[in-house]
Amino acid sequence: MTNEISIQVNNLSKHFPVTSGVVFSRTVGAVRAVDNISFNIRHGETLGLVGESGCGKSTTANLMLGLETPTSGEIIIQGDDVAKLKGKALFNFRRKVQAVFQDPFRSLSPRKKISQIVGEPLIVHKVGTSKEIRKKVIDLLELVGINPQRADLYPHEFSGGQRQRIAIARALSLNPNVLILDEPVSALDVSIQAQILNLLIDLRKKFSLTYLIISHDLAVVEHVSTHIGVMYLGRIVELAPAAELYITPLHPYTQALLAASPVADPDVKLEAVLEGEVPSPMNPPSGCSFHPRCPECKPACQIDDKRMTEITPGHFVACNLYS
Amino acid sequence: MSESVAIATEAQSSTKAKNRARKRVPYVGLGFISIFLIVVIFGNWISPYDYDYWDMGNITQPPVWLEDGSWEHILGTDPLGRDVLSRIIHGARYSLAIAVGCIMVYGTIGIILGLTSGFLGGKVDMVIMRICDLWMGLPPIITALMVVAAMGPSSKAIIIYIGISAWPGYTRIVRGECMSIAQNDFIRLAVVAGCSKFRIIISHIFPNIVNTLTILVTLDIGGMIILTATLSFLGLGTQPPSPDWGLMMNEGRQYITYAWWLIVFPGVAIMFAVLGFNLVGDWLRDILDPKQKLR
Amino acid sequence: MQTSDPILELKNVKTYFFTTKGTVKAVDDISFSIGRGEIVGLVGESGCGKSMTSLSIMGLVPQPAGKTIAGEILFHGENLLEKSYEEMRQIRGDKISMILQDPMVSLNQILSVKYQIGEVFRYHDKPIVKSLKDMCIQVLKKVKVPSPEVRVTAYPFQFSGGMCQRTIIGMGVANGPDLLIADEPTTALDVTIQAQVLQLMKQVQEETNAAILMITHDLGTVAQLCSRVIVMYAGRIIEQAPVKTFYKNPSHPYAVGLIKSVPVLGQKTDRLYSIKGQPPNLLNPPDGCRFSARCEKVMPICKEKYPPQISLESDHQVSCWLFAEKGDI
Repeated sequence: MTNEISIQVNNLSKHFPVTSGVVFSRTVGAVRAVDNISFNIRHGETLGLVGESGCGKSTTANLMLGLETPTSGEIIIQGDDVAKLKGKALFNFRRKVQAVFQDPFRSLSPRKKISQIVGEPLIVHKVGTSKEIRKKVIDLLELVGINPQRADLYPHEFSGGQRQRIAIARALSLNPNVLILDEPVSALDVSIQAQILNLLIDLRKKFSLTYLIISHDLAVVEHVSTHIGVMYLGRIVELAPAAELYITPLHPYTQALLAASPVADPDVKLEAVLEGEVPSPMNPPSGCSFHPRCPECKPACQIDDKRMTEITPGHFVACNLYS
Repeated sequence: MSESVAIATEAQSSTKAKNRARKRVPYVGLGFISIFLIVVIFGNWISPYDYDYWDMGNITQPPVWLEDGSWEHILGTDPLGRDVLSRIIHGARYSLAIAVGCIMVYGTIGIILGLTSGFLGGKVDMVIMRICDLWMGLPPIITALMVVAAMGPSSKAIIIYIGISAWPGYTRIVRGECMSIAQNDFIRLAVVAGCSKFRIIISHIFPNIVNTLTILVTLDIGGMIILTATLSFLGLGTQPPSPDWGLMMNEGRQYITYAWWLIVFPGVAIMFAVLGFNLVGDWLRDILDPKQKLR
Repeated sequence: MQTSDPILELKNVKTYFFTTKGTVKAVDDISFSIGRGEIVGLVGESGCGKSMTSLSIMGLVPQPAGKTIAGEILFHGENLLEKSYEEMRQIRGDKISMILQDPMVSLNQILSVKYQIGEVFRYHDKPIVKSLKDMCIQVLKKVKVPSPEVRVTAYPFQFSGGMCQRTIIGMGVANGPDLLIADEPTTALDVTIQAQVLQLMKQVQEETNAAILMITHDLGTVAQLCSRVIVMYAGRIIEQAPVKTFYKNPSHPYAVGLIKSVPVLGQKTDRLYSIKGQPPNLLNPPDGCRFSARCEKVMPICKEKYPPQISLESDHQVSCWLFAEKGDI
């Protein structure tokens, strides 16, 4: 496959209505979990979404997997408009897009053997006879570094890192083109994180996969991604190729995030540039939602909410500083 | 606290409970249940007489250790000459059958509705829960009387009555368990893999609630035995000449001053059967500790 | 390792858990000391025993399965392991404080903030200055919680994670402890909030001169805050060094591997270095060095005997056969 666009997200929004009243509830507001975001991911690339809690990255993952329906906007993955898929079309779509989630202890059904867990998607989609499925399961376990002789054990007999490998094996069982990874290594020890990240990189190369990886850990995201999107309160504030984001971060929030990330070097002192807390997504500030905490806030920022503009090729930022 | 402390604490506290549980296997409770089940299965062979055999030569005979008692009727006879021991043995089958019948009826309704309500959520959940609320408000005596009026008093009537009144409790519990399991990522992943809702409920959620259900059912059997005995005692259930324990107690009421054995022995039988199930149910709750479910 | 003027000294401490499956040697013969006003980082991955070390110091090892069966924990020269429950109670929250990982569960959601901060004063019979409420407001002011006069009567669920953690830090230092034990205090917080809290901890430490034992798996946090690092693996201490020495010149292969396997911002590599294998099962730790199964530089002696603690410099110790001289074996 060439460098065509694999995933296209246009003006995607997801608002959760907030109701008040016990008997006759009415909608009094909305939590703007995801607010008008757009991005493209080309085949073989990896987009990393970073941001702090409440920024909407996990909701974005759910939307891309069809687990939630957007309030507006569209998600087009390999030609399928995810929001409009139903029934058989949705079922077939599942073969293209799979997921790995954060918690290795809750991603595997505790009462099933891991061979059943890894093989379930194949059974559901009726791919092959039970013998063929068994062979495929063994191959997948070997691929992710799990001893196939342990295929008939239960999840509680494996460590966190091993369980995450099993989850990855399951995600690959249907030969998807796209993997959505929601904090895949956050719950793992540092030395295991490195193993899993290397595994993901190897698999991406081997199967020409396209990843959307979500994490709060900038270093992890930088390591795995080709492009990075920084989210704040449901919006993407900056989107750039990975290396460029770290060399020339443009948005003040991105700069603050980078400055605040602790570095394993005692000579580099971190600066807590940002004061205050993340505002509530129910009541986002007017204009640019970052303006109350922004060290470079101008009067225009309180009114004007800047759209994403391309500053250098491939590098987008939504900030009044750049117009 | 970090993961290691959490694991150590959990392992240690559940180890504590499991240690205790392993040490105090309820031999007494298991003993009572074993006797109960042996009586149920082999009743026909071990019972000295038929339950409605009238030994007219030995009416209202006291138990063997009292004056006038004999080894032919170890626990005595009633005014119709029926052997109390035999009636208790046969009565065990009635008790168990009715208790199990009730649990099957309300258990099935409860599990199906609970799983549906818990997993599908939304309007379905709301409707089912409101029906539960209404149903739990129905006064039990009136409902019982209505069922009896419609069907006439019988064992079947008890099963129907209890079956249709007790399901809201089960539904609530199953719904709660279902909702908490559905929070887990493996359910989300099952949806992402393309599993149908039906498959998720049967294959993913149900196996994880089996532990809770086992405990509930074991504890409920005791309660059901008492409930059916009560209803029969009130005349709403099993009818004579069936040897239901509650019915026996009702029949023995009038003779309590001079033929106390007619009411005491059925009561003792109920007590031991219920105690056995309760002891084993408590033990199961420790062994199948829900805290250990997802680890 | 001798620190000048140590306020806390652990000598050959062992904390074991006695379970039906066997004995878990959570903390297996560790020794270190903390000096007045020092910030020491205790680093390791899950299961290495760092949290259990802190609980052993506080006398809060979960019982009855867990017990500190050997060693001495000397606080100002007195052995904490010999103190009674009541004596330990008086020390906790007053002389030695602790803050934990998840701020949302460290505070009781149904008791007001004022009540909970007040506990710290009430339980140690502190003299009331002006009023208890005023003392609580001062605590909040010290940790820079905005609008402390209003917030003091609020409830924890009305606070964000960062504010909760600040409140807890405030409670921890309210009585001017000599030692503050912080068990993963910023792991559950967002990056920008984490930076604020770390800065706060540094500031608080400078003001009160309390020593801090910072327990974490995050090497970045340690580099920022600590002056000395202690690395634990599978219940034992494998390296102790000043922070700069540690990061520039780590000695133990595990420490080397750990530092190498952390992705560094701005330095993208094709593959991350990773330590192969898994941490050992503490139920049956292997003979010899516990890292031997995963070590790239393993030698035959590593699997037979546990390496002694070797001083590379006066303030840098490592437990590894690679650095042993003939006389040590």
